[in-house]
Amino acid sequence: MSGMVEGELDQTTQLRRGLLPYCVLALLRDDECYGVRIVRELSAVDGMMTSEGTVYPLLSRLRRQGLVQTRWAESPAGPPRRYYRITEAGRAALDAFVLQWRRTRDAVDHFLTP
Amino acid sequence: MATRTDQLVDDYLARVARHAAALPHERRDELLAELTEHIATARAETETPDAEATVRTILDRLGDPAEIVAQETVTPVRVDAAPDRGWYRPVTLACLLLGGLAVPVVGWVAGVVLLWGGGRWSTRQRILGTVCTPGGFGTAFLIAALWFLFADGSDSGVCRTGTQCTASSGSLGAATIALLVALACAAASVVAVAVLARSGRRG
Repeated sequence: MSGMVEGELDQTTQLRRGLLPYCVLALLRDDECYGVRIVRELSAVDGMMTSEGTVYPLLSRLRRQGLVQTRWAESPAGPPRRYYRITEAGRAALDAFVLQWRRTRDAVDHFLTP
Repeated sequence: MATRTDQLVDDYLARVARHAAALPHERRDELLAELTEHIATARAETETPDAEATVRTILDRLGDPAEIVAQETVTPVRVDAAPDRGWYRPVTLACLLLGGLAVPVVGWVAGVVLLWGGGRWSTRQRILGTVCTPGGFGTAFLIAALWFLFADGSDSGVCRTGTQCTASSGSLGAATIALLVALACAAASVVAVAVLARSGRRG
């Protein structure tokens, strides 16, 4: 089922989908954030986001993995919002990823740069 | 009241609900709540929350309901949330090797379940571990025990009559084979477990 949908996506989208969790964790590094704003920040950067709704399964997975925690809060305009905050485990995962990412990025650049 | 725009939202959420029918109902309800909240929050932050164009834009940007729900079940790229639990690999290997001694068959099967359930081994290594440790020492022990009983029984049974102990040498031959098989089982198990112990470490 989901395998078929994934097969139809192009490689770039798949790559970004794999990296997106870490971008979200990085967004939450300094402060908590609510869903719509996370989506907006991601969309603001070219090419990181196609379908905004897919952030919610992602956030749910991060929560299940204990990398973020959430709380509900009243908002000034509109319904109560869910705020997402990074956990210590989330920080550890992000730190580990940053090292891996830099190594990988440098290695790939080594081959790609003429 | 802006019933037309509310209808748009309801239709969209209904489509999500349909696609999400296969999800655990708690997660389905949660996802619907999150999308409802998203739509309401996004509308509230615009200057024209009730305009059809506003809502259509929000829903378009949310994306295809099927795609959103598909993300719920996709196998995620593993986020290394925690280092390898220190006990997992030793316990797995102990069960593979010795589990059959503690609890016949089931002990080894537990080892196989653990082997496939974690520990950062490759599929090839897991196949090796499953095929080359048939029952681990439990099987070897069983075969050796059978050899003991087998050799004992036929020996005293045949030679007592005083005829040439040809039959007993025959059964001794079979018993020796059984003993060799037992040793081979044990050796294969030890080698396989050693391979598993050394490999699959974080590179």
